[in-house]
Amino acid sequence: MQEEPPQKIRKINRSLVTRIEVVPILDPKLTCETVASTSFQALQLKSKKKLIIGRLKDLPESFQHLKRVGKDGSILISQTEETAKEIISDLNSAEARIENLITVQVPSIKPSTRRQFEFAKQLWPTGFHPNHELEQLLDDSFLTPTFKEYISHWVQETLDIDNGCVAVQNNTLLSIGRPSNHPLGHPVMEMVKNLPKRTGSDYLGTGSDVFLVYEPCAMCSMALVHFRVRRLFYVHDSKNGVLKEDGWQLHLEPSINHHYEVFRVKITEDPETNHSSNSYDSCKNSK
Amino acid sequence: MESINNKDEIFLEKAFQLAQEALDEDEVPVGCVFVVDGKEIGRGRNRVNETGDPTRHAEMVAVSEMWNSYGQDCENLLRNSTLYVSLEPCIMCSCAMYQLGIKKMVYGAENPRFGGVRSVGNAEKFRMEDNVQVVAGIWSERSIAMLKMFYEKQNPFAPLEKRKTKKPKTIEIKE
Repeated sequence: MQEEPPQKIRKINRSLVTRIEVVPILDPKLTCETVASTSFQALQLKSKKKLIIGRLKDLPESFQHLKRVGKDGSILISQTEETAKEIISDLNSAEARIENLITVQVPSIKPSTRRQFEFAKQLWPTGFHPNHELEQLLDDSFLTPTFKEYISHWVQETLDIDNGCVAVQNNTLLSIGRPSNHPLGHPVMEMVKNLPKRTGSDYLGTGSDVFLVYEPCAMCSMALVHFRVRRLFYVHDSKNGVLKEDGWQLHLEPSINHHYEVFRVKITEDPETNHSSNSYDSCKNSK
Repeated sequence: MESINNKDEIFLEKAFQLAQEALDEDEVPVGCVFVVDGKEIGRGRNRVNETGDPTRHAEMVAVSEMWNSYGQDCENLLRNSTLYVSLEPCIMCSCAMYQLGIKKMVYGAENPRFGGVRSVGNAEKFRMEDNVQVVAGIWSERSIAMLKMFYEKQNPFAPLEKRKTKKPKTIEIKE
């Protein structure tokens, strides 16, 4: 790789960098702009709000994301009408009256993203702790010019090996794989096999980025879990791929103990270097 | 629980012996044998630490060994084979088995974290044809007991002679 004249790489890069679009494949729970809502019993109070709130128990664990007092000044009491009435009568206060109970709609889960928070707070005041990395993935600001340059460089390297797999660590080539005629010689399996043996806890691809032409099958996607890859970039969806949106997505499977980020790198077609070989549409070996 | 016959027991016993061998070498205790017409055609056990390759699970080791000894013929053999393995294959290995189109698999305990036959993944999720006959949960207790022994060996409070010397990072379940 390094032997290639740097000028040439830069030239290829410049042409690819303007033609790529990088889209993260995120959990639908995060890309969803709304959050589910549920009805809740709230008490309208004219006075002694603080006193009444002080005498109420905390909301259950699953509703801890909700602020106690709504925009209209009413106070959350309980999810069901029956318990709400019980709580009010137990208060035994002239200000807290059962006939002042109203049904309100509240977000039933804590918002995970700013967009969900904007939606949730329209319903009821809600707590929110933004995850900045996630927000950057959602608003596209993760794709800085440097990062885009980095992606296009390694995508180009990957495309140059027909149906290749390239692993990169600290912007340095870690291992390369190309499909073999081994019955399971898919690009990822070959890349992992070609990784020089290292010692101690350092032997896996921890923190590495992997670049692939085709979306990996379940075998290769799981091999990348074992490899401890940090981010995966692929160009084309494939028939037996398990990362794309319409079906089971291995990188979003909660029971697996390591998760990596997945990005689809779309390339605007260039007739001169047409890489969209339609004859190949599965993750497979060289046969 | 599904039942197995005497022949099945012999091969599953072999798979468990290979798992024991892995345990003795401080590898995740999983072993397997591939059988065609009552004859063993390949065997393997976990060699992740030894090779430094996180994909060297028992099944993958066995397939590579068969590839080395039979070449292209191993694909035909595998299509007619039964896999005996001491633990439900992980998603990687299960998907490999569906791709190879083996006939049948007989395995020990289910693997709720990584299992790719029934526990976490399955052929449908892999977008593949579910064409492998499955006999699951045979000798589960024995399979789990071995895994427990493996984790106890990694425990820093274990007696010195039983303790593993590698860094704790390499002890996560690999299969």
